Amino acid sequence: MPNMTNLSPSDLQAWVDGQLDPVTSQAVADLVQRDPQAQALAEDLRLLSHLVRDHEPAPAPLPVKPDYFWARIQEGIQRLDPDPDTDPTFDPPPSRAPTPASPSRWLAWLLPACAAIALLVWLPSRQEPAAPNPGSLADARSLPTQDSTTVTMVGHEIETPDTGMASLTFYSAQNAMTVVWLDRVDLL
Amino acid sequence: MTGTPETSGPADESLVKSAQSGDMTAFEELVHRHRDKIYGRVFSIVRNEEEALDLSQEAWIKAWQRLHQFAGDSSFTTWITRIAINLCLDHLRKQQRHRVEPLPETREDPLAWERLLPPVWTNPTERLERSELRVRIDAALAKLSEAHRTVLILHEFERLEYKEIARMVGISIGTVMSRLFYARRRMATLLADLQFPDAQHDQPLPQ
Repeated sequence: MPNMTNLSPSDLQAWVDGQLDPVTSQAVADLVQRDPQAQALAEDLRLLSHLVRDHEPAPAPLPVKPDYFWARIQEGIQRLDPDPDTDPTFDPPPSRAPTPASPSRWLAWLLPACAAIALLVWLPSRQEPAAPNPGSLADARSLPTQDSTTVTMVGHEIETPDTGMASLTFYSAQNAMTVVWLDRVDLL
Repeated sequence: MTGTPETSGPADESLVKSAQSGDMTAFEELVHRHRDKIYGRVFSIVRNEEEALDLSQEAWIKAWQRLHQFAGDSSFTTWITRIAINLCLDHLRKQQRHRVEPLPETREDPLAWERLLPPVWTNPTERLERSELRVRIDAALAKLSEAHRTVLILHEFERLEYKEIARMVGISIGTVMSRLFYARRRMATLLADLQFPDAQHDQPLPQ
């Protein structure tokens, strides 16, 4: 049961509009019965509502000629995409295959990759890398870079000009080999 | 603005069926019959001629696009009016990203039972013609904020329940109630010098 003191003018308005549940509606009805101010406000709300409803302003006139109005609607309809559910002539386009990367995009990561491989071939001939962990490939240190701009390779860093590249470095002392795996993140 | 205008020729239902089969002439006839009502409703909400024109045309285009979804649960005019109102509400929502209009707080003091209207309201000494009353009410509606006007129009003219308004506008029922109360209070202030026709007194309050 709603507390009488919790009833607000909005509740009274909802009662006048017939929008309250039966329990609250009864509570408001009781209040209106015994409170002249609530009764006066309810009456005002009802009068105003009927005044507005019964004197709805005439619709604003169309500011253009009907022919022009219809012509614009027709244009809009013609611009619509055919709806496959309703248009039997609708021939759905083939599903779009992923767009192959343009040559310039391939070059963007191919050149740094070639540079990295060249370094890999060249560095072992100059010095023995310090093996972080002897063992197999499984023991190797993998160093995925966070910002994809720097490849860390056993104490050496290779700057890559492309921010869309991820790298992974493996070192195997057993095989005396370091493998740098470069991947294009934005092509994945 | 709720009824279907007097028309000769096939009923709306028949025209809708033809239009659903792709008959553009039938659809044109539906536009011809109801364009004024739809434009008028849209204009009453957005209060801008150019926007109302664009939105009402968009409503008709959308109606054509979705015509196959119309199952006849309501009248065609109700259906197309809902489409138009939803477009208006979307439009207003997009606008409000750029133009934040603070809503005045409604006094919700449970004990504030003061009268909404001045006592002179019930004194039928001076009468305005119905057409004059409509003009005055239209002018008062134009002075409300979009948020308050929309709720008032949806309730008083479209006869929507609070919960339907809340769902359409995307606000709580409590906000619907407070906006409606504020809108009515403001309308009462703006129409304070009007006299109320006798006929309105016949309606009893709910029991």
